[in-house]
Amino acid sequence: MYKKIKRLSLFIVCIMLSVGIYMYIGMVVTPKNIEDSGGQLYYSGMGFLAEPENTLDVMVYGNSDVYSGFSPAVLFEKYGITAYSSGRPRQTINNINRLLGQTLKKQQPKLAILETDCFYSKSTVEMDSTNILFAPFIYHSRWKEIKTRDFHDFPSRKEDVDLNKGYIPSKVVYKTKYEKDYMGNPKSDPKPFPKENEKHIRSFIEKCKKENIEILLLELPSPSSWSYAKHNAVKELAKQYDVKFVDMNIPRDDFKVELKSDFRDNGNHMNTYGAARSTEFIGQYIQDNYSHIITNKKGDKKYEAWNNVVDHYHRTKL
Amino acid sequence: MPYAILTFFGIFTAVSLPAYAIAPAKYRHIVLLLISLICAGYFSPYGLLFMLITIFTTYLAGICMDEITKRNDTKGLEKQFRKQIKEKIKRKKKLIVFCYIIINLGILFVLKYFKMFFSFDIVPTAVKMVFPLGLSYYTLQSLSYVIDVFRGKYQAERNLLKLGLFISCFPQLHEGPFGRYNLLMPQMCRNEQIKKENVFSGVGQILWGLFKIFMVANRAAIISDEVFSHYVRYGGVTIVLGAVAFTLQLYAEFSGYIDVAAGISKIFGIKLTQNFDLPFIARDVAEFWRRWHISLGSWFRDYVFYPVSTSRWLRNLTKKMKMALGDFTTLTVSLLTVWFLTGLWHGASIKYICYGLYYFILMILLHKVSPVFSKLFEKLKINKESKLVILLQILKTQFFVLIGMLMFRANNLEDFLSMMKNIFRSGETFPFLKVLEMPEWIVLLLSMIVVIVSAVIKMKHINLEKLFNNLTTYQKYAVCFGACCIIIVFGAYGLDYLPPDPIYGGF
Repeated sequence: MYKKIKRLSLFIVCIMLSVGIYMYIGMVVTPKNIEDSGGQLYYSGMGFLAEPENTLDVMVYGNSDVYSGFSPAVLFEKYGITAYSSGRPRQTINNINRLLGQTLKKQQPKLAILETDCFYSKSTVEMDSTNILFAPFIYHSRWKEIKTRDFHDFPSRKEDVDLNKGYIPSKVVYKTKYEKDYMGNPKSDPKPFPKENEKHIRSFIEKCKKENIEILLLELPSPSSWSYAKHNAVKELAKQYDVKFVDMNIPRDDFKVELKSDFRDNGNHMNTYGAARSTEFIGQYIQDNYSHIITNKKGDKKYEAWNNVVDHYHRTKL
Repeated sequence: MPYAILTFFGIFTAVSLPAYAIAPAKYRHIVLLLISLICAGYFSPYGLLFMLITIFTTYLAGICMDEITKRNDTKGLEKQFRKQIKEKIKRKKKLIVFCYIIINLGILFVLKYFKMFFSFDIVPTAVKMVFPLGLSYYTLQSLSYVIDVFRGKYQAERNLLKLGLFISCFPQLHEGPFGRYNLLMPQMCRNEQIKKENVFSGVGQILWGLFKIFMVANRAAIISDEVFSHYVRYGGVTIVLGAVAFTLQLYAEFSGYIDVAAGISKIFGIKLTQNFDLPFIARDVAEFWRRWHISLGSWFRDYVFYPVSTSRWLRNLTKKMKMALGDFTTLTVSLLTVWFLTGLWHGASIKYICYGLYYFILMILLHKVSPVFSKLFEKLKINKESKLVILLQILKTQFFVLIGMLMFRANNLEDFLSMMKNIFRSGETFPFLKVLEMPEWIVLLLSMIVVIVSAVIKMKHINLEKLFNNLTTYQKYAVCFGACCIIIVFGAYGLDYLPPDPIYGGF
């Protein structure tokens, strides 16, 4: 009996020790601020957690299209609107619902912009960069830059303010191979959303309505992934829920995609130039449609820190 | 998908272990077969169909040959009749083997050449879906079984499921090694229960494989990629450095994947064929190939070299020649066939065929020059077994191996020739710290020291596996956990690293 207890205790100690060491390694290698290697990935989409309470009027949710194509610094500079670009690579709508929940703990956004490209993204088996359990695998390459603070500081997204506000600039200009008619036939049948996503889209819309948050469905320019079939599906959904839908892939008087200069790759992600143009258009749209709930914060002392955001943007965009 | 296969093998092993352990002993091989087929189907849904065709045709070929032998019993017959019937049996069996080869090598050639000739940019998904996982490996493995049954080495397998497992067993599907029926089948049929010592031993070998892949191969790949991608800039020592880095990458990666496969198999109580045996201490190129990719070399020896060298048409051809010339012609034709096919097996391009022919020339030269050197050593009274001579022989062998590796890795023959020319001119200084940061170099060198030390220990005939197995359970656990943490933290994968495709994975 004594032997059995001893063996069991040894087994439990062994497992606990292993779990403890593994978690500690995860803590050590996880970025402690945005400048650390892997910091962009760790904070991506979740940097709003460090923003002062109730200071963000607009939240933009979506995948990599959002952090590439929407610049909060440009929006504040031109229209005095505070926003956060909550985009993450291959983000799913299910995950966006979780982000919305986290947003509401600290912020009361007036407008939630939902980028619709992620409506068609299915969950992948990829490791979630926010999950502490995967941290040793995701951030292990930081072993080269480990500092003393890494051994005792806990990683936290709530302390380090992100000057890019989620936006990731790129100066690369790629002349895409797409033609103007890349959207295909305007009369294409709507492409159905994956069943699971449909449920989460509805959940997002209903939650926003419950919290009195206006919703704007937006599709940023994306020739490589967008089509009229998808556009028509989102249009139907917007009609069904009585929410606004703006598709920037369809040319209009105040915005047309520039296929030779707006992108950093072959029509999937926008560059700094494209992001500035698209953000200006979105800003004007917000001003035209939501000025009754979203006011210009420029000159307001409470939002002085946003001038640093604009300065930082101009320093890094060149 | 470079790491998908490793991740998937890991998940599959973890999932299949309980299923295998719970299953009644007589059904365990069925569990393994199902897992293997699901694994093959996951990576190539339509490719699974081709694998099933190979399984069924292999089964039928074996059974038919067995039946023909049984139905034509020659016992009690006169010698003359016996001979006639044996000839008849042989003819029928030959026809079966011929049909079998047409179907299965046909699938191999059509699919492999389709993949080579049509760019991935055109039909990436189609190729992925049609090209079965481990096509080259399982085709040659099942062919060896059919030929052995034809030769009467053993009786045909009557259980389709067991034969199916022999052909499709998932750990060896990705990069081999080629298994032999008489060695693998008895182990697979044992349906051994999962044992603690097998699990630790298997996990230990898997970790050793992962160590070589992530600590050595992936870092060496960064150096070789830089040199081979920008070889125009570099000259002299840098080109040699690139070839050394590639050799290291290939060895660490290939032997690493084999270790992972062997480790997984070991957990299920199956010991796979050894594929590497300290190739870098070989004293000549022939020995190198007896130590490098052993299962491929022995396959070509048993199923190409011997049949060609003992074939009737070659005997007829050399009959009228003088004995020495006849022997030399036999050797030349046999070696030429073997090395031409070895080159072709690596890929359908002139480069790979030249790679094979390069070794053919070396083998012929070795055959001709070795006796001359032996006589010279005798005359000069040089001890062939002295350490200095052995060292020089090893260096000479590695010199030829490096040239072979340069050809193997170069994009095409033109690039290879340019790189050979560049060796004799100076070029830009290699940006050591730009290619790999200093900490990365340190980790690479330390990891290489670990690999070299393990090789030295093996040379001294110390069995590391036995030493590991003698540890207590908690000591084994501590070693495995420690190794796991080292690989997770210091391994070259994920952020900051572009994953290289497994070199032998596409064959």
